[in-house]
Amino acid sequence: MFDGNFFAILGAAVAFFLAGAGSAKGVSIAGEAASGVVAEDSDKFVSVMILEALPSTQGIYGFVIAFMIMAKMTDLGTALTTGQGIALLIAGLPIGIVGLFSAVYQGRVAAASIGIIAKRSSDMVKGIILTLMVELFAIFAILISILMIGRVG
Amino acid sequence: MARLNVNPTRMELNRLKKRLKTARRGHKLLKDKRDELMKKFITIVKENIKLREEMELRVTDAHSSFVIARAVMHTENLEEALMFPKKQIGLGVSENNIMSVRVPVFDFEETAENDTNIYPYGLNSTSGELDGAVYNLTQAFPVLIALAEKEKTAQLLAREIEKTRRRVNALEYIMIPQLEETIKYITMKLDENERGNITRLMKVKDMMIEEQRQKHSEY
Amino acid sequence: MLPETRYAYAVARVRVAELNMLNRARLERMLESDTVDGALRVLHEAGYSESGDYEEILARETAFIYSYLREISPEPAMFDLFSYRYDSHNIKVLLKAEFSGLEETSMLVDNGVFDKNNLSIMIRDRELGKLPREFSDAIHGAVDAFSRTRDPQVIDILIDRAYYILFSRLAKEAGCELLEELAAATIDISNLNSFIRIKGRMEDLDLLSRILISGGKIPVRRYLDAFGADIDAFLNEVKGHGYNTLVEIAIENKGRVTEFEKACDNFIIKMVGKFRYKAFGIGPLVGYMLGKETDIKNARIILVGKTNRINNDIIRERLRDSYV
Repeated sequence: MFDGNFFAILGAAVAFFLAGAGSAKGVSIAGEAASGVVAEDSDKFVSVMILEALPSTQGIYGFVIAFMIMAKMTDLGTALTTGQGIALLIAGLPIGIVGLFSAVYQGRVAAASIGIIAKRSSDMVKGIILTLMVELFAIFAILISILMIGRVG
Repeated sequence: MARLNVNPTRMELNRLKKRLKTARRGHKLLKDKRDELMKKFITIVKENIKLREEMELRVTDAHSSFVIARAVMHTENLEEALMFPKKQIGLGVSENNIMSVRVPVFDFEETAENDTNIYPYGLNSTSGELDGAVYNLTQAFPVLIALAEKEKTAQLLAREIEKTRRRVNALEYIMIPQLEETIKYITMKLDENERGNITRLMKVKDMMIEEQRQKHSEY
Repeated sequence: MLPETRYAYAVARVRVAELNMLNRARLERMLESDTVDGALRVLHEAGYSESGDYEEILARETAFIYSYLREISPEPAMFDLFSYRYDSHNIKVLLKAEFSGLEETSMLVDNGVFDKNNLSIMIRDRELGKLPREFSDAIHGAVDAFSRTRDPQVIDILIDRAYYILFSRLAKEAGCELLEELAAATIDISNLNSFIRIKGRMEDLDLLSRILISGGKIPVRRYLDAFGADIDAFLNEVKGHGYNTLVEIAIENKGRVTEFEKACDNFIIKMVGKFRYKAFGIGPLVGYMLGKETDIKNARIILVGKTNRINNDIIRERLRDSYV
């Protein structure tokens, strides 16, 4: 039962579950803040929407990694060795865990940056840059995950 | 000056002369009273001015500090703070007699157990500016009462002076000249009568002498 | 206490609403306008209603702050802490009206946790079960003390104290650090203020001992011990409790209440101002509320000043720092 395929599928699931859950949480935090701003001033909808969407990237990265793990399974043939399976599980972890945390924290920064927009719409770009700083670590995580998948063979 | 419409008799003359004498004496007395009242009035007015200045100063102080307290406090807090007074003030009124003018005297007493804690409110929901306003107003209060007393006294005295002055004038410019005129008229009228009488008597005497002389010549 | 991220929505709304607060520039414009109407126009631009005289406008704005914050906050009950102040006001009015036989309805205020009419009935019938126990105890205490002393001051003292103690208990129960800190600071400031006022005008140690509230950072004992001594020495001694700026202003102005009260208000605003840029938590909401109350106070100072043609310098001297 605990064969290579099981671990590989688990890796794909972990990568997407954690990153996706993080994104959902992050987007929801930013979304609450965004709806607060829109409730007071509906003209700011577009700018706050962009910020709200930023924490969703981790979910996308998780999705990509999950997909790549599945593709790797196809490449490696029908039955994976337990070692290959565990390797793929571990490769899924960076984006899963980093995605989870970075999305939540990015959501918080996004909410704070929405506060900037609430004060001055013209400072939207500054808010986006501040929020994207957190993104950097999610990007590192997905790169590491991709490299790790590439090394499984 | 019109004279009184009286019969020019000697009895009337005597009566008028008596009246004139009384009027003259009354005039002198009233004039003295007026002068004395004036003297009293002037001192009271002087005190009054002093009190009024003091009162104005204090009330203006109280008012301006109150306005500021009102500015920095919520209106409802201010109303609540002042809705129930702590001090009770007794005000007794008695009378004083100045030259037979009855003027009021206010005795004013406060019932507060504590002279320094005159504030009817707690300190947490009120501003310290209100303390100043209440303090200033408390300081102004005795002055206000004293001023009210003096003001009323001055008013009553002024009314009395006015009345006296009118009486003096009436005596001086109407009553006395009228009496004098009438007396003069009666005297003149009586003298006239006298002279008429004498003339008549002399005439009668002449006529009688003439008659006698004619009787003599007949014999 | 909810997780603070639940406040994201409310904080964002408040952040937009802060744009309409009376900042220095708006206050300056109000000051510069020659008439009351000119000053009211500035208020209207800042979203205040337009109809009625300025007292009505300010009362409406106060009511609005509470309903607005209750509406947007994920924990509306947290604002009860502040609303109880209005209940304490109503209780004082009702008790004083009862003892003096005066008509009270015009002096009762809305915005309390309890409806003013219900509260009136509760006090009349002494059905105090629904009130927080601080209030019901204080009401019984006040009735008892008043019947002995006939001094209306005891009513204020006891009810005010009950409010502060209630505030600090609820803050502790809510486990909200900001509110606890605020409770301690308001108690300390209130005590310092009482100390200075009593020292300055009343010289009444007994009054001081009845009016001081425990629960602040400076122990009550310290005030009582220092009552006979020099005021500056005492103030220097309590500096260390985090009230440096405040105490320095008090010393500098020789205990004049005008400056000190202003400094107290500024101190609280500065304290909640620390939370102004937080994206989450109740901090920005509390800050907004106290900031709005300061706005209303500033507006009243200017409007009363304009109505009574008070010199701008005297008005300016009393204007509190604004939150924004």
